[in-house]
Amino acid sequence: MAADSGTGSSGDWTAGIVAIVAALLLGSAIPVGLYFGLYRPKVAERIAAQENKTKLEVEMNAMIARQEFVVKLESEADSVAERIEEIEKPFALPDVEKMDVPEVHEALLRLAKLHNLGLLPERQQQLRAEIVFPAGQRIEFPHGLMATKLKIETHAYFHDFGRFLTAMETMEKFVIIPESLICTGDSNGGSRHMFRMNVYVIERRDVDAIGR
Amino acid sequence: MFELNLIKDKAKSRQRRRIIFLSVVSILFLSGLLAIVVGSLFWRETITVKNAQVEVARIQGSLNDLKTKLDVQEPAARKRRNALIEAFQEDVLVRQDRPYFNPILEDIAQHHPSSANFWYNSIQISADTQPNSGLRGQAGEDPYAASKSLMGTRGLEANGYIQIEASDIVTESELLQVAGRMDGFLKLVGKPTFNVDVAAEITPGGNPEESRYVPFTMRAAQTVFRSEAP
Repeated sequence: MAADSGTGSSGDWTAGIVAIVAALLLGSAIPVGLYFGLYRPKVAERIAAQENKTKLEVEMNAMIARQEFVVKLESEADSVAERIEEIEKPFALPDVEKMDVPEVHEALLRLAKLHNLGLLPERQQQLRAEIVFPAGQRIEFPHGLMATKLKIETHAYFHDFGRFLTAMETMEKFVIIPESLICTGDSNGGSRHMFRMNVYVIERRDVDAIGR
Repeated sequence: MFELNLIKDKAKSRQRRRIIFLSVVSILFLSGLLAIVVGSLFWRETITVKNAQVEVARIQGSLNDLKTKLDVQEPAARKRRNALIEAFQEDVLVRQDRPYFNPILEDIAQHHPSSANFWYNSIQISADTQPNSGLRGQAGEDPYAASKSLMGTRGLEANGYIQIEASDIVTESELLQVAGRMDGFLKLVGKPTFNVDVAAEITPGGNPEESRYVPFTMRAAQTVFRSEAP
């Protein structure tokens, strides 16, 4: 009986233990499966996303630094633009179509009158002849500065012309660069000579258009 | 006894089944709990990942926008800044280095040796008169040759008569010494070269001891003369 009972008892427990082990195996399989099958890949995905985010934040910081640099460049450009406007105050506004600088033209005519400069003898009979007139030529400097050519042709005393020249070259309102001068003495031994001069008037730039 | 044993066995069996049942249920319950914990962890990670991805997408979008904007803005800002600096430097140089003619005319009028007067038929000041000048050679190719020439050197050429009143100046060498004493020219346009034509000299009164006029031609070397010239 005891043997039967023992055997029976052992047999009963066996099935139970098998059931418990099976439950244990099955029961643990679900969380373990979830852990390794879903949770761990998701953690890896999260870590990758966070690393990506960190990398992007570093890139973003670099980009913000770049943006600050661009702002600095623009601010430097504005500062230089202001300085250009200041330094170009004595530069003239051109009439590009007529290849003239009307302000300077008028100012030189007034100056010529002030210094008693006369027209060349051969031009005295011409209609609307002027001592100062545009030569129809503009030249460009390597970095965009432009200059318009004016011609000055006059019949005057040497000292009058000298004073006119000095006044012209030291004008505060305009920058006028003489290119060439031909003085021809009076062939009759008189004191009034012929002066033919080419000058270039430096033009004011369109500062907003520089480098754009 | 048999029945009792049977009863006892049944009770044991029930107890055993109960234990097994409770064990199985506990195991399943615990595994369920664990599964719920893992599931909640998974859910939390899912939310975190989703948020991180949204954040990554947002940052990536902003980054792309900013990069696209800066890729355009930065070269433009750099180009403008550099162009403005170049323009400013050009303005400064043009104002600072521009040549003046009034000092040379002033010298022509004021400076001459005490022993002679200079009478001029013609005076020419011109840009780039040297035949071998590099600028002239490049004129066809260099679009800025004219402006470079304008800001460059000038040459002076003059001709006329030297009026000699001192009787002891006779030879060409002596005349050239007179011409060489024109200090103003030496400072402004460099050492000028004088050619005197002694054979063509004129004596208006017929007496060379009193006064005579010797034709001369003067050429000054290509030299920059500016406002700071004395």
